[in-house]
Amino acid sequence: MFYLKLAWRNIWRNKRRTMITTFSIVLAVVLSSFTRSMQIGTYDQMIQNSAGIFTGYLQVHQNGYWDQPTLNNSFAYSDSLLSNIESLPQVTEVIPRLQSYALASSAEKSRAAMIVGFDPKAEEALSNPQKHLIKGEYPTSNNERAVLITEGLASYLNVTIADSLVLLGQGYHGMSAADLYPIKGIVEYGIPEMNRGMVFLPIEEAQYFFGTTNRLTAAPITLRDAQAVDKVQSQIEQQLDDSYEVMTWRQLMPELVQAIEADSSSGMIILLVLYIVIGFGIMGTILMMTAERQYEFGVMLSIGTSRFRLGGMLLLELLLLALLGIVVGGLLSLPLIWYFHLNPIHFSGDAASAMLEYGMEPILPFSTDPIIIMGQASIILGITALISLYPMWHAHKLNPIKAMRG
Amino acid sequence: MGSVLIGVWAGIFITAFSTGMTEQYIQNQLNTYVGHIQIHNPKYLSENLPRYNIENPDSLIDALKSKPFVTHMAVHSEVQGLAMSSANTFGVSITGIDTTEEKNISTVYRQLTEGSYLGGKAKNPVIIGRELAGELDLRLRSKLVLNFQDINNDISAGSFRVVGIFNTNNSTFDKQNVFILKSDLDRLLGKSGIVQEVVLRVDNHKQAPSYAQQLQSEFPSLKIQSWGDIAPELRYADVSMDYTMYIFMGVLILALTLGIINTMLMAVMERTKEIGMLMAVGMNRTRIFGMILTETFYLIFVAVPVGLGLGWLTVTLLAETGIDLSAFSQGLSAYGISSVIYPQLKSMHYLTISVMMAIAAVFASLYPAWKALTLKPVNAIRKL
Repeated sequence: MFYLKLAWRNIWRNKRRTMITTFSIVLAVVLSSFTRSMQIGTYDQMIQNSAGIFTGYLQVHQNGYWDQPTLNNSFAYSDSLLSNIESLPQVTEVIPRLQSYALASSAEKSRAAMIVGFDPKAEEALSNPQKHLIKGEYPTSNNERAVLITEGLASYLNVTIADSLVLLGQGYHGMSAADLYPIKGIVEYGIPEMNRGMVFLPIEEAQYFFGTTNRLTAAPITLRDAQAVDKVQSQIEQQLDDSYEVMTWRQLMPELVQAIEADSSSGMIILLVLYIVIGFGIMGTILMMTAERQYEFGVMLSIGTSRFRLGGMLLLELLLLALLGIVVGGLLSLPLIWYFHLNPIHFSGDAASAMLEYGMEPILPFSTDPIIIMGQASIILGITALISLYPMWHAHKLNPIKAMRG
Repeated sequence: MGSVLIGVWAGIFITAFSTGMTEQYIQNQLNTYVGHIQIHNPKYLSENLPRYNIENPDSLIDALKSKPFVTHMAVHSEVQGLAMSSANTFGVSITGIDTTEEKNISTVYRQLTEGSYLGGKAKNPVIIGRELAGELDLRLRSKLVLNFQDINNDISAGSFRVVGIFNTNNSTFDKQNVFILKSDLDRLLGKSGIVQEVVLRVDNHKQAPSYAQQLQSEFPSLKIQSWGDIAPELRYADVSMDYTMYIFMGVLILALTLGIINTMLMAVMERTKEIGMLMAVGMNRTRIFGMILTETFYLIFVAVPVGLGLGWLTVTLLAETGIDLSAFSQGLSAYGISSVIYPQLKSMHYLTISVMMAIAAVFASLYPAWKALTLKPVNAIRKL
């Protein structure tokens, strides 16, 4: 206790020195939090760009649908089923879909296209065809006989709004499905695979077309907070019986998970180098502090303080400084990251056009997950603790006579 | 002056690491299937029918051969069709290749997991991707029927035997592409020597867009695209990496500058007595300011070259052995990057980074030097 008091007083004895050392720790926390938050923010954006555009964070299917995505593995739609999921606190929307493939033809040509039976109202929460509409109008009801087609398909088939589109495919249990629909609108997505061949058909009309009556192939779910995905998954699993499967975006899009992992490992290396640089910054100030206080240490040793206790006192001092530093650093990081979260850095020039072409917003987003700051703060604390070994070792080796003479 | 040394080293290392990683990713993809520049009949790209082939391919090829920047070239016949096995049917792109030319353009021949490349003794050979093999339930020596429209829009079909299965780390590519001999495909398409696609390798892939533009003005009737237009995701990877690099360099320089300010400030404080003494014996403020700056210069002159040497050494050594990232992630290879990264850096960048760090260090020493001037000689000499 006595040494804690001594350490505390030592800290405030030379305020300027304390400020400088603390500042280097504060800076370390702020810079590493900034960098990490930028990295995590980019991954969140990748997830948002993939899951938030079409797939959703979670999907409910008939058990076995994901292995064999056919209409025969669809499930019967019931209001209670979906409204039960919708009543979960984190869930913002449950979107009913009936999805299958069919041949889409104009007078001249045909191409295999993905037919998405959709609820025009609910779908606004996810793929939002209304926002991507570049021509024509948006269907208003679930049983309107009209289709939206993607721009890539429209230009391949050489059709435009008010033309007719013939759909020819296989329906539920091998029934043949064929019909002709007026094209009501054309939608454009940045992601080439989506833009190539998709047809949106209001869901009741799609169920009629495929002969599935009230069945759905998938119910994507959007969440208030993407982090809650695992919790919501288990909540939904509890509600449903074994005849359903509930999958998260990690299971639905394993390639995205891999892309993030790949990037994350290079991010680690970058962070590691940053730690080395800021570690040296902190070390510089601590070395200086040790050199400055030679005389004082010499006196303490000569009047009988044990080397062990002297070292302990120094460790306490530095830990107090480190705690102060990471708390202040953490508090300063919050508004900084929050600012960049609200006003993300915008890409310009070539980078921006490349990103737009790829269907991504040309910004560099920041994640505001408090875990990041806490994680970085504890890493910096660890680094500082490691560096404090030097003054302790120094106190252990110090020759009091030489120290006081200098 | 450890921090300047470390700063220079870190700047060099990070730039080399990131450049190495992005370049590797892009090169991998370009070498596997994209090539640097692709030439088509413009209608072929929108209609995808084999009758929209390149007219007079020989004169185009001769013209391309005379271009100094073209290092390799391959001509393909190509058609979109259906691949049918006894198990299933799948839509694929069928490319007819010349095996010797193709090996200079695409690394698929090195990415075979089973069997061998085209060009053996088997009649009507085909190589397919691992994903497609799964989809169609095909093995080596299985029979595969390819079905497509020929140049007269009549249906044509041929029976092929699987001689090799490749895995390029790009599952979409592996699912949608089969390769057969150009002579086989030409025969089925109904015209020998037909060309739907020319793929070029140029001396520097970064220059490909301007080369493509140059060729485009020379051959206005053809559609000439560079890799960025063919595979926008690669261009995105290229530019976004550059951008994050700049930001990270900013963070690094900030960390370095403030680190130096801190240490120098402490050093000046520690030398209060000495500086006070110098002032007391009549050294004027300009000279003291100059003295501290000169000290910084000396330190930079030692630290920057040492950091530079150390950075160069690290990069050169690691460029040989590579940095194995498999400890961090299994995802890399699936992403099209091998898990061993080989850092690389142009000599020009060594210089830019060193100069940048040196300038940052000079700026960082200004404040402590100025702070030294504000010391009062009397207070400074008095012992703490």
